[in-house]
Amino acid sequence: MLDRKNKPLLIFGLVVMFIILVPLVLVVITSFGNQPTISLPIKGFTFEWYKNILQQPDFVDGFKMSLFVALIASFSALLIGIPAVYALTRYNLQHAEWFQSFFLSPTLIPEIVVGFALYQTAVISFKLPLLISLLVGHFLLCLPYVIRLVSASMLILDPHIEEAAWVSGCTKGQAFFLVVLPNIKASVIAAFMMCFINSFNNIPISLFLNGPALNMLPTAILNYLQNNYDPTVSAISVVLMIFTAVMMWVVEKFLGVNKLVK
Amino acid sequence: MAKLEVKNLSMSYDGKNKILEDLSLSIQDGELVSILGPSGCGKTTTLRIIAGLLKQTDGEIIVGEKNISNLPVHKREFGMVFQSYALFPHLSVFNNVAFGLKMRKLDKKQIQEKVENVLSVTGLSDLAKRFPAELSGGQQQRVSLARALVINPQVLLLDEPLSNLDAKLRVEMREEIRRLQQELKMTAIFVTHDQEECFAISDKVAVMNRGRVEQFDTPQAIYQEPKTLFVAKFIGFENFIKVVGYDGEAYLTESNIKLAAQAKENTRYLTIRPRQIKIIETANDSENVVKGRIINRTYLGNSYRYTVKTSLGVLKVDDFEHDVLSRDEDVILELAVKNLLPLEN
Ligand SMILES: Nc1ncnc2c1ncn2[C@@H]1O[C@H](COP(=O)(O)OP(=O)(O)OP(=O)(O)O)[C@@H](O)[C@H]1O
Ligand SMILES: [Mg+2]
Repeated sequence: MLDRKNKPLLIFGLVVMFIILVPLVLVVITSFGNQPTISLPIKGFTFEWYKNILQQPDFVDGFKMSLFVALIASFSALLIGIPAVYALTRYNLQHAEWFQSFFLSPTLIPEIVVGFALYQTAVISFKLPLLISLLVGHFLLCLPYVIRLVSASMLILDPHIEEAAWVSGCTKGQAFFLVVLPNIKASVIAAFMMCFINSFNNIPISLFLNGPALNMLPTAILNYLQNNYDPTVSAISVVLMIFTAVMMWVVEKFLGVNKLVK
Repeated sequence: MAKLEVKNLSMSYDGKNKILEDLSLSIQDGELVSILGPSGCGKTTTLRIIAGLLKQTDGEIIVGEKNISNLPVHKREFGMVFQSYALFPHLSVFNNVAFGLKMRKLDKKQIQEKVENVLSVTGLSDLAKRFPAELSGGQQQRVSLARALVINPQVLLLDEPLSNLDAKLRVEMREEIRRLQQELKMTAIFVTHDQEECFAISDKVAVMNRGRVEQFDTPQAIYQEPKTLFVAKFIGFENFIKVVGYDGEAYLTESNIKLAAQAKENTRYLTIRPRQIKIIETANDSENVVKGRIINRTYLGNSYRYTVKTSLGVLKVDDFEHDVLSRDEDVILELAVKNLLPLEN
């Protein structure tokens, strides 16, 4: 039986769920509609738009490029971010809070400005290749997630357990991999997911660092929408939803429980 | 298992304040030595330097014949029990204990054997599969001890290992630690600020104050013959009489009274326990007799505590022989020569 007091809460929860889920459900429905424009209700059922995705080279190449950039950006953010967090929380650095703010600063600046600034400096002034600038942009996008999430779990980890590992015969490096990493694993995985999703879906930064051979999926979708309003966009959205969900499931499955421990 | 020698250790965290100054300790093979002292006197600092977790500013650490002053922590082969236990949260009890053996690359069978052995000695066999979060404080403490013991360390270091336990468990655990230490004939250092705890289990006690060892002796010697004012105060002496000189037979107090006591150089104070001051009926000719007036009385269960104002200053006297005396009564006190101890500053 429901507690009377909980009823408003339950209703509130359902309303929120409804608001979140309805657009998603509508997208799924429209992706199967047989009219040439996105419309509701659908009149007939077809897989045509899913087939059409593969006929758009922009989508296929964009997907590959976005995947590549998201993976590189996420991993490099972890590779730089985790040691940075370790140093910030374990050594009595002077002005540690300045470093902290510095690492988090990309979150304070609108992404569109980050994109523009990178375009101005990296591409125009320093004549860096577009791909490098794009990777740097996405790396900057990812880094704050790593710093925030990992330092939260690093701070609650008892520093004495590392010392216990050293006393037991571990070098500092071994202790990091055998004792620290397994205990902050959950936050590392969470950080990876946040990085990947945000990079993969990013438009503002990619918009400025776009080029002939550098076509990212979100910008490709945006371009496509400017010329066409057919359900292909719904179909690719559904594919992306499924892709992201599967990817997260795989990460959780293979890195999540017990895997990093052993 | 080896003799441990700490020679002239100095330590400063910031290059200015000396936390440890010229600290020396010599611990025989198989001895358990306690470091006793008030908060902030440098006990943990000393232990961490011995473990290699901190680098001393000056001084040497010698185990057996080997100078390990510059050996990194992971090569020292010591066992350490932390105040917070510091168990590895992601490993089972078995794997927590096996950790050090795996680092030493023992084969699986040996590890299994050694871990099982130490788990049964510490009474943890049934808990091998549990994780630290699923254990009580006392059980965690035992795992921490088992983890330190399993590598058969040259020296076992314990930093207030009992401070997180309740009173009853503390007594049980300290006896267990002592039993294991003696059974395995381990050299051990036990840090505590609890006097009773350290007297109960130690072969020797080093009383520390402000980064120095004030006295390093057996518990009996420290209890019966404290050498300095600090040690005497720390272990519960309450009467201190300042002296200004020695005339070859007796000490001269600030108020020009002669008190006979054992002659010793550098004596600044004389001390005596409250229950060793006798209330006598009539002044006799014997030495160290002083008149006084009771200014306060407290009931202590098996005795009365009188606060007596005398020409030597205010003295605390415990009496369980006489009838109850009351405030403002005049009394005659005898401070027997054999009970009056000379103290250095
Ligand atoms: N990392 C540090 N940096 C600077 N000073 C420190 C540091 N650690 C300890 N100290 C100082 O060194 C002194 C000795 O500290 P230590 O931890 O050795 O004391 P302790 O005897 O173990 O005290 P307690 O009984 O409270 O544990 C204290 O005055 C303390 O403030
Ligand atoms: Mg301490």
